[in-house]
Amino acid sequence: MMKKARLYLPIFLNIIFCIIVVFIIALYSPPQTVSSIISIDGTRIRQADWEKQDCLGVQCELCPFRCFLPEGSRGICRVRMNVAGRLRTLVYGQPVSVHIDPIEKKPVYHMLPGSRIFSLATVGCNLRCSFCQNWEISQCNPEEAKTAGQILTPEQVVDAAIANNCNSIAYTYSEPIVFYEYVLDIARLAKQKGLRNVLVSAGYINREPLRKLTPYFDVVKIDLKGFNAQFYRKVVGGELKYVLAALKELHSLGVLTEVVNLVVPSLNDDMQEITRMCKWIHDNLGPDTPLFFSRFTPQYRLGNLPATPIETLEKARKIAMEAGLRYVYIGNVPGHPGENTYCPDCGRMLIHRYGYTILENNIKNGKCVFCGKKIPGIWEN
Amino acid sequence: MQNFIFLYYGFLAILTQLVVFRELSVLFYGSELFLGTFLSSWLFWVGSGSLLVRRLLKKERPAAAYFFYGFLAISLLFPAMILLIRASKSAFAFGEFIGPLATVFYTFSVMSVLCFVIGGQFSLACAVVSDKIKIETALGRVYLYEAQGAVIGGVIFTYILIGSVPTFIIALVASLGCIFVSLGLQAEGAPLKKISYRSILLILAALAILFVNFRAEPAINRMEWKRYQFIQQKETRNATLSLVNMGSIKNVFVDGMLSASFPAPESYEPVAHWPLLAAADPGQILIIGDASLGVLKEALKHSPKRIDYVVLDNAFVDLVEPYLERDDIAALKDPAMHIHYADSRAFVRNNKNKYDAVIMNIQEVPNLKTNRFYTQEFYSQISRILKPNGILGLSVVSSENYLSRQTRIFNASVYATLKSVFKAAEVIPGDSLMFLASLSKIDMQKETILGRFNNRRISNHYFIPSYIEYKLQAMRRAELKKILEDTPGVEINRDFRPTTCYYFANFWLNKFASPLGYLVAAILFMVIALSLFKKRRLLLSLSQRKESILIFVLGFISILLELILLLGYQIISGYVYWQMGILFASFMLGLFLGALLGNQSKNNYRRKHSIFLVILSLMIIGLSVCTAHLLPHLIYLPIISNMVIFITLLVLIGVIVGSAFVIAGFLIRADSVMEKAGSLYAADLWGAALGAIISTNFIAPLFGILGALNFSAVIGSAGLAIFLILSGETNL
Repeated sequence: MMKKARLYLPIFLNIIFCIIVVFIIALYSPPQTVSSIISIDGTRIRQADWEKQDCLGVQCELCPFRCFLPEGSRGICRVRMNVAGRLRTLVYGQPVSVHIDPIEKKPVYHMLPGSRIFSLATVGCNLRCSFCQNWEISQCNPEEAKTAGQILTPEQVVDAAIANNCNSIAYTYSEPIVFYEYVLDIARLAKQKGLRNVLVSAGYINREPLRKLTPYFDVVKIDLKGFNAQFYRKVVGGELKYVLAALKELHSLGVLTEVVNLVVPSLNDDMQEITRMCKWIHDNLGPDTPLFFSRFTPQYRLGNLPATPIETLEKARKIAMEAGLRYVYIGNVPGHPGENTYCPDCGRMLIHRYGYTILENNIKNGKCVFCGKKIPGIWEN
Repeated sequence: MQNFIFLYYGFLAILTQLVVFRELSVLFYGSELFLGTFLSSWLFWVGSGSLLVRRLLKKERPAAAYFFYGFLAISLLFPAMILLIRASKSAFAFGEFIGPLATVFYTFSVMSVLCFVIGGQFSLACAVVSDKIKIETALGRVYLYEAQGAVIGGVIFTYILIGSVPTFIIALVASLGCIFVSLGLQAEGAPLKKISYRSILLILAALAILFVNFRAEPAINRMEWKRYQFIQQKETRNATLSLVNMGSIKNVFVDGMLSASFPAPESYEPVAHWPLLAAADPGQILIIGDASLGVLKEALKHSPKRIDYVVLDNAFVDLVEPYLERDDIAALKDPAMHIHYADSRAFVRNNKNKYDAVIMNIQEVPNLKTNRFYTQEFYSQISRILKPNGILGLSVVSSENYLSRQTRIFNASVYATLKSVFKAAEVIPGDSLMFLASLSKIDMQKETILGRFNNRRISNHYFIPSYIEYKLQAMRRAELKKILEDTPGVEINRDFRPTTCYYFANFWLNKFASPLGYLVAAILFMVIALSLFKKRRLLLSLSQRKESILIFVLGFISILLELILLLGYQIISGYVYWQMGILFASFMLGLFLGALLGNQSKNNYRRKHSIFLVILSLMIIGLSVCTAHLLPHLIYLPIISNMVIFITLLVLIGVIVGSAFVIAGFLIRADSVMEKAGSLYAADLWGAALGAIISTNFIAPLFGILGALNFSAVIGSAGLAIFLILSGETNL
């Protein structure tokens, strides 16, 4: 019996090893390979726009990645998939984050200051910023996400916004481009009901989808993460030129566009790059384009990097104002004078802010109360 | 002379291990994953070196020559490795957490050459000594002196060198020692070419210049922190503290992890004011956490009568004090402030005061070492020093807008543990989730909190009325509480069942999850499986390697028990550096005594050696099971009694493993002494390598501390069973 045991021992050990391997793979299955074989509930997927049929699959035309998707695979955003030869969205009606925020939190400073904005997001993003402030939403797969209690149809979203005395709806937190169809349906309905719409996006979208979306939007907030192509490729996972193209497109369409730049120490805080960026914004978007320099705080994979020194933000703001930009702000530094809006003509303080609070508002009928200068923005509902 | 050289070899091995560990800790934040990876890579490469060295070297040359060259190589590799580690900090993305795969690959790569050489020296040492004594006893002799040297090296490093001498200087001195040892070997007649003699002098001169020029150390530090304005680095007993500037903000890194920034009111204002505003009258305050200097200043705004501030040692305060703002310095010198240098848990346990508020500001993430600050037992101790309406405040990393599954479970485990002790627990949402707990109801009405804020005339940067109103939105807090309460499958965190740190590890690893990572892991598994499959004929000759298998298993168990017991001691008695050093030295002493005992039995016949091995295996299995039953009862004993018990346990484990190794050396059949020494040493170290990486990362978090001890008993039984099966009837 001992001899038989010795003979079979190596085989037995190999079998145990294989069982352990299978067990581990079963427990920790890769999200975008094995789980894409698992069928998604048929009620939770919908036909997506911007698809182009190909003999071997489907091409998504929503963003510059133009992902080519064989059957069963998903785009880089994780939420658009080829199901039975058609492009589907996996997150329609399934927001994971629904909150009511002060509009200054977006940050949107040139629309209805001090108002409440109904904010929502689904999972997914077509970029991979290592400093993402909402990485748990943006880098999550839809099957891992816990929806915010229930499916929310566009009608329910609009009704909830009205019921909560919100003047506007923000599509924010993650990347609203990737839940395009949901955004479009809500925005259309919201407009009909007299609500305003704010898009907070990285701007990584193709021209045609952007043109279709913008008629329903009052403000588009674009996160211009840096002004260096290598930075965009390495840290963000995209190409700068497409974001710049989207900004130009927005300007040509006459949409009120605010630009935010999250200043990350050592990655995009080079003052020469900031100078070039400010000049580009001034020349291509106009001097009235609000620009924010937001303070980075340790997040996601950059959790070991200290917060941006305030003097870095102040230097950047000074550069922007010297480049001719009229409305330049410092974000995430409550109480800093850079939070306030000043009249570009008479220099008086128009809106005094402290964090999310409006302490003073000297804009009436869209004009400076002191000298009558017209201030770009939406100041009354 | 030879014995002294083997002694120095053991001394050198432990010294390099401890120094390299300190250096790499700065790169990888001393996390559990890193600790396991470091130990396993060290043990793996040293084992590989001992096993493979004989295949790589030319048989015509005597072992003594290679032994000599080995020391020369170490003299160069040791300081070079430190320079490489410090320089490579800038190769990683600035400020970015290093993922698990990168941690494993980097650690295994950077340690490969030096550890391989160190491992090879063991086999070569056995070959050298076998020229003069019997082959069977050569292994025992070298192991005995190596263990002795390791004990001496461990004690000297722990109690004399660390905190007093920079690690790079330690490396240089050790290198000089290698040179002198080489010269001693030369004097003993190791064959030596003339050119090597000149090389020795050159190396000696270069090292002497570096040694004398102490400015090498700050220059190396500046290179390491080149993206900041480096101010100062201090190696303390417990950690490496680095103080660097970024603009006007001073930042303190503890073992490479960003621990505190000054000034940073956005981080310490909420930590201080939430619990103090929740308390009706915070006259007596306890603040726990090294990086809490900013919190002290904020706490004083509430005009308390007394603040007790507990830190492990004075290193942090001494480092930052010259650079603090006037307010922070004034806070430290305030008459209400009382600073205590002690382990926080021990302080809480022995404290007779009653507090209105206890603020926990532990900057370290919940890992196995710090898990004891998030357990039901600790919260029970806190509840005993809180007044009936006193408030406990602590914050953990979370997410403002959405809780992923991993974040939810992690946050829910902290919440559930608090609720198991305290009657009331409130949450304040944010990127750091603030928990407030009390033995009685907590009034978190906006009007109450704002009223207290105004009455106390507090002036802040961030924590202002609009911030308070925003954070206290009832709907959002209620929603968050419901999410935490309804999270299924959450276990309460206990001292011996560290679920919170397991959940946190999942949360942290979620940042790095990617299809590429899975692909690499799958490829690795396939490679291992294929290798095993290809070696199936070799595996069939397992009967010839049964001693190695048993030593492999004992190596696995010994490291698991050692790590678990060190952890268990921290949980029960707190963290005191010199006590931890004694415990570590106890295990090494046990190895030495075991080797001594094992050598006494060198003249016995094979059957008796086999019986001894079986008895030793049974002893360690029994010890694992007994320890699992004993540990929970030790909480009630005085510290001295615990110390004695733990020392005894660790010495016993060391004795068992040390003597088993030597006795296995008598049994193992091999063609040459190097093959015998190499295979057995490799088995011991590879077993320990496997134990190191899975005990802290999987076994302890999954099964708990006590479960891990029982698990080791199961593994020991399996190893013994395999040994008995393979021995067959003839051996026993």
